Amino acid sequence: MNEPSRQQRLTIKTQGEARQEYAAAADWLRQRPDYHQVFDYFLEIAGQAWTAAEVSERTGRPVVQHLCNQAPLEIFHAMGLQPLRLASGCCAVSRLAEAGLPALMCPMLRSAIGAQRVQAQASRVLARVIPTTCDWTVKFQELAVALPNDLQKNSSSPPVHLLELPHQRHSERGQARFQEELFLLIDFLEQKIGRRLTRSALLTSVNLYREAWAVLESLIALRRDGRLAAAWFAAICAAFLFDSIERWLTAAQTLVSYLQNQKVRPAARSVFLCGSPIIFPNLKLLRLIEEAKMYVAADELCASERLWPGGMAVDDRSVSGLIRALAGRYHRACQCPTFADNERRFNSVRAVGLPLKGIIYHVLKGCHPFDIESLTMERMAREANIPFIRIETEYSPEDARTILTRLEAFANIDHGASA
Amino acid sequence: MISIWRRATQHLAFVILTYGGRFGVHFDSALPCFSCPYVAGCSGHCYLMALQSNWWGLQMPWVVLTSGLGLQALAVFGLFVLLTLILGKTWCGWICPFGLVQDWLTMLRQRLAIPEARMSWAGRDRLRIIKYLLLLYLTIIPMLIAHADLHSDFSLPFCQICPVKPLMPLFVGNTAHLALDTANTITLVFSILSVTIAAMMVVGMFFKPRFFCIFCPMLAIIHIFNKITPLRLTKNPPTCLACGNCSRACPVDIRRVHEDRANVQDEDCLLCLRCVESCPSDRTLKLTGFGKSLIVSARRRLTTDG
Amino acid sequence: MIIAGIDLGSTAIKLALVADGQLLWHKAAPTAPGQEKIADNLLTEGLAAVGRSGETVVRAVTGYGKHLLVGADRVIDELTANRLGVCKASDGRARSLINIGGQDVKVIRLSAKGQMTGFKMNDKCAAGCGRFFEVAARILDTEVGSFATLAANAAEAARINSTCAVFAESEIVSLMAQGVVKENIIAGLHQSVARRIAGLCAGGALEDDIYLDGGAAQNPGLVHALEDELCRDLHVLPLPQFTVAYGAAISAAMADSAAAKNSS
Repeated sequence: MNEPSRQQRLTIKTQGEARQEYAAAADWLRQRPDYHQVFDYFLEIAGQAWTAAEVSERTGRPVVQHLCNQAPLEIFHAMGLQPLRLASGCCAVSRLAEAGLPALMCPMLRSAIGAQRVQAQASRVLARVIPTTCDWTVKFQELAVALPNDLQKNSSSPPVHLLELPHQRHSERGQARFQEELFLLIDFLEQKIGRRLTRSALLTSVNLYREAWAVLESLIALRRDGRLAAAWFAAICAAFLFDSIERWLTAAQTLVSYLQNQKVRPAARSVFLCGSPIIFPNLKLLRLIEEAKMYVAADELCASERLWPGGMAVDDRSVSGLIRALAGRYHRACQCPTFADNERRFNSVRAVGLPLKGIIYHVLKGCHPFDIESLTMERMAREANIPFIRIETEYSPEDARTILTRLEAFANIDHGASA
Repeated sequence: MISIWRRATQHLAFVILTYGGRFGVHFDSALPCFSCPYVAGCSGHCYLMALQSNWWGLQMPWVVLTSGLGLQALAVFGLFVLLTLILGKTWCGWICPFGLVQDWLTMLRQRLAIPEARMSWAGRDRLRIIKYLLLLYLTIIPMLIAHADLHSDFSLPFCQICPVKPLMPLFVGNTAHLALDTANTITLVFSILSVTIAAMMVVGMFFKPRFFCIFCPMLAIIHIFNKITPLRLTKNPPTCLACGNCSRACPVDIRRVHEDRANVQDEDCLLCLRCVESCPSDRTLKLTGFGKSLIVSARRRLTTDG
Repeated sequence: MIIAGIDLGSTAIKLALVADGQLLWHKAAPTAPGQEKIADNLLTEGLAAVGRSGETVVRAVTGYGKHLLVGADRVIDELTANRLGVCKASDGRARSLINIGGQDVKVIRLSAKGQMTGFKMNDKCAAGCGRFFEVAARILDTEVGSFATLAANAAEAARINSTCAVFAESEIVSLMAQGVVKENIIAGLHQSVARRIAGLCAGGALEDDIYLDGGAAQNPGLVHALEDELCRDLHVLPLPQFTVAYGAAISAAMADSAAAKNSS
């Protein structure tokens, strides 16, 4: 056997660091007073960096990696595939991607590329489906192949399908184009698996995800009245991203019935969290918010409450009717800042229906769409007389203390006097 | 739940309106819905017939109009206005028997998993004016007969082409209105038109929910009273998340309900409340009566009803 | 009751001994490893200086290192301590304050009652902060304390674009290589930092009656440069470096009197 190269040694070392990072986040949750064994499933799934091969083995389905929120999970599921989010919240693996990638790159995708690099097992990924939300996702594949995996022999990148996203979601043209895109996605996947998508399978999947959405809604209701801390919510969402829907649904239903028997704990300082995604084990901001004695009662993060857009009304149950409904939810209802017509995004703050201490807007350095939209959100928060704070950060923990100073000050802003 | 209640109400109304007359129920001739007088034993008549007629409607000559019958015509009109004001578009979405027939066809299509026919936004918008043109047609022709010596076989001009006339009597076993009337050229043309339109409508209604409602002049009349009806569909724009469920669920493709505005009551709205039911945002879409909330959208509703 | 307000800052540890709202004694020591020990030494020294050694002291802690001090009686966040300190020291006149600390700049807006109604902080870097001057002082081989005098003698301010401590270092070096005199460079530094802070104050962040504190407020050259940039008069409190430590002590005193009111 050959001596490992310097790069291979670094990769193996990083693997260990990444494992520790996940374990540390899970341990922190386990030691909380609100821990209960009903959370164990979520910690088990969220507390590790699963490789595509492992996920495929666990779920018994070929894996399709995807990014962002716009590729309908129901389509993958109906075709017997396991969707696996490429997103990563791991800081340690970012290091492997730092050299050779743009310096001001989106930390989430930098980490995702790093995470691909530490996967020692041969990739069992059938395909990658990437909605063209921002420049980083469009160029994701290009960046990913720039950094080859040096632990796998003959590693090759899976075939990529770009799901072109019309950036106007309320126009007739935009909606029609996205429906067309979904049919193209189905064509692509059908070719890959050599099978046709059937209507009954799609309907079954749609109904399954609708059921799961009802459970997610219950969890959201539980966090509104103080019974589910944001860090737990992050673990629950991570489990959704990295496991089969059936297993997640069973565990989530159990969790809901457990939490519904807990006492309502109205939080004194409820905040609304929005901006760039927060993905397990990157709990930095959530922990700091808690340390500053605030409670995240609601959020609008795409790997959290906007995890997948299940609130779907379906009347036309033909294939094209189902696709139209899916397109409507995954595109028209999506509040990703990549869209040009996003004027009503602030309404999600108003729709919370709780007295809010303020809005915390999370910007990952290099995440341009959210960075740009923070201006609009800040202006609207000012008009609505809700305190607003923008926290620009990365995955690395070094700025934790400075952020805490701000959050503590934010928690002490006198809301009534700001008029 | 809203859909279940609506279906139940529609079926009850269908039975009562179509067969009620056989049990002595009669609601007069001022109904703002298509309870068709050609259906033997129906329990009330569509006001459109009365409106076109020479007994209580626009085809009355001056002499009759100024007699006591004129007052009676006014009374029938008054009753119609009253019924329209009280329930507004609820007549369309919850009561109209022909509306339910259309919904049956839609249900059948959905059962067969045949996709709904789609129209372009502009194409759909162009059809909106037809119901007003038909309204104009059914008001002018009777007056021409009464005052300009137009042939009397032109009377009841809308009923002559209305697809309800040949179709609804089928529910009481009457196929007579499917036959051609060869009495003269006018009746022949009308009967050919009637059967053709009915056939086209059946196809249209199968592929497109409430296809006939798009053209219905009754919808146009009810909409004229829109400004003063107590039943209203309203929206609280600040909590609308712009998801589009409402306009996608709408059987008559109303886009206005999705827009960033408080008044979402569209001229084509049937008050079926499917939008309220499909709205995933609390207290955003609601039906109000005399300013009071009657039915309100809720996050939880969608998880249970879909 | 004697209260020690301790501000464990990024560049200096400040201690203020307060009794009945009056500042008895104050001293700063540079931040170094073993902050808890440094703070303890300051406290012992202070108590000895005011002749109250051995008395029980309420310790109110704030600053970046506030969680390091085990067994502190009160831990308070920096902005609240700052606000209380400045309000008390200015007899409630302050409506805005700008704190130029070692590692960050804070701009706080206050209501007439002294409540914080908004704040802004710079991003995580030493731009426009005390640390920036220290770096510059090292390159120029000059005490920060003499910056103001030197800047006053500048013929014209050198243009310094970079506010990042690291990049400014190379900029200063190249200015020196061009033969620009020290005085002009220092005046340029003041301007550059003032511009940066003024940028943070833009967009309604300031009310009238602006108070400046933090270690860098001891430098009149910077104060003048900032007044020029903001086109406003600035008030500087007599001991600008100690307002936060003083505020922490005030906060403990307020908590104490509130508790006394509740128990009576």
